[in-house]
Amino acid sequence: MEERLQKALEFANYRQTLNAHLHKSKIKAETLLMFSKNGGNFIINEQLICFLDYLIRNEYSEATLLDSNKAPIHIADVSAFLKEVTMRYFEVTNDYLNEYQTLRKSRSVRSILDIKDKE
Amino acid sequence: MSRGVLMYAHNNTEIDYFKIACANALLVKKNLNVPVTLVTDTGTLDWGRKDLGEEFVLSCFDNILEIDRDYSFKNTRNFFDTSYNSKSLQFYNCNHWTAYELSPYDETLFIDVDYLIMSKSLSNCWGSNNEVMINHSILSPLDIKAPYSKVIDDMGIRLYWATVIYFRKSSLAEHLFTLVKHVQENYSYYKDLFYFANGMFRNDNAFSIAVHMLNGFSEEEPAIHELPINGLMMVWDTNDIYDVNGINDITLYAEKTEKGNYILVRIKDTDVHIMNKWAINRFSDKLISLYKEVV
Repeated sequence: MEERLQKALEFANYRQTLNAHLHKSKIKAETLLMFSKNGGNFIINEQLICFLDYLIRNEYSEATLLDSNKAPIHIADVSAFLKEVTMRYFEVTNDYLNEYQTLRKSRSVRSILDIKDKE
Repeated sequence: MSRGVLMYAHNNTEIDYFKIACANALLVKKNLNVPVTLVTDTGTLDWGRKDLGEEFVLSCFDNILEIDRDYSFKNTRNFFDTSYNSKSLQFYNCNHWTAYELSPYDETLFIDVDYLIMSKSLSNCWGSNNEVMINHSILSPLDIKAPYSKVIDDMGIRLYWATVIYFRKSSLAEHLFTLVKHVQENYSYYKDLFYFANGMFRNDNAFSIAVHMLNGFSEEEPAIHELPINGLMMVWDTNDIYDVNGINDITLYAEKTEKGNYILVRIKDTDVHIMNKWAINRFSDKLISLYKEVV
């Protein structure tokens, strides 16, 4: 096989592995951004965080929110809830960033997978 | 409120479900930190005790419920070990409807033994307002793979995966399992009604029909919601395990769209359904020795 073509195909294979791992990291982060509270399930995202911040700025100390199933969930302490979800948001996104950067810096299939030779 | 995981393991002539259940019970204890109950039959349990030792078996499970196996139940399926090898074997799955009655817990996570618990994600279920949760959404470890059928048949009712079911002791959960039993007992009728492709009994089909009925034969305002995860990670039986790297860390051979063309994918801290039972059997000992150290 022509050397240039072989290199191009190797690169395509590397990109495919990279894409699969980026996809998997995203799935993991999305799962970790699901948050249970008072029997409801919330997806932590910028929209939820902004809405909670809006409630606090307008002096709502408690509120009823719709969870991811559109079920009403009463939140007795909006400030504490905002703190919880924000903390989780940054924990997850920081881990995701670390994983993402490690993957992006990996220049071969072996380094993406961190493969060690089997004995 | 008692909480725990329930699993069923019934060996056939080649697949050691019991050993997979032992490995997964250790994963559950490490990641979810809840008790595990196993439903099994005498033959499977005797084999497991002989193979792994009584003491080890007791350390994996908090309860072992020994039930009578119905040897008249015949359900043959092809068990694939990658795209290159498959074997037609018995698949004993006719008693999942008993989970409601057999579970000793107020809140139960009923999981297939091959759904490896490698994260804390399912802890989000505990204390849920939903009495039953089961997933329609699934995910593939490969972004390029068109993953699955979203419906059980051409009639178009939604496919739910009985791989993981959360239920709280409640009338809704009881109704669900009663309906599953009904569907199973009348499977040939439902097979014709919904034009299932083959005659093998699948719990996924039975639960999908039962959920459809409980949702009022509609998908508009479902009574039964999905689990608080963004989908079940499915690794089909055409794939294989490359290695178990460590705690909650597995590398897979994932088949791309063409037969025999694999890509390596490393799964970390993510629950995963590995449908190639042979592959898990090959790595059960390694999983057990790794997790025994940390549980």
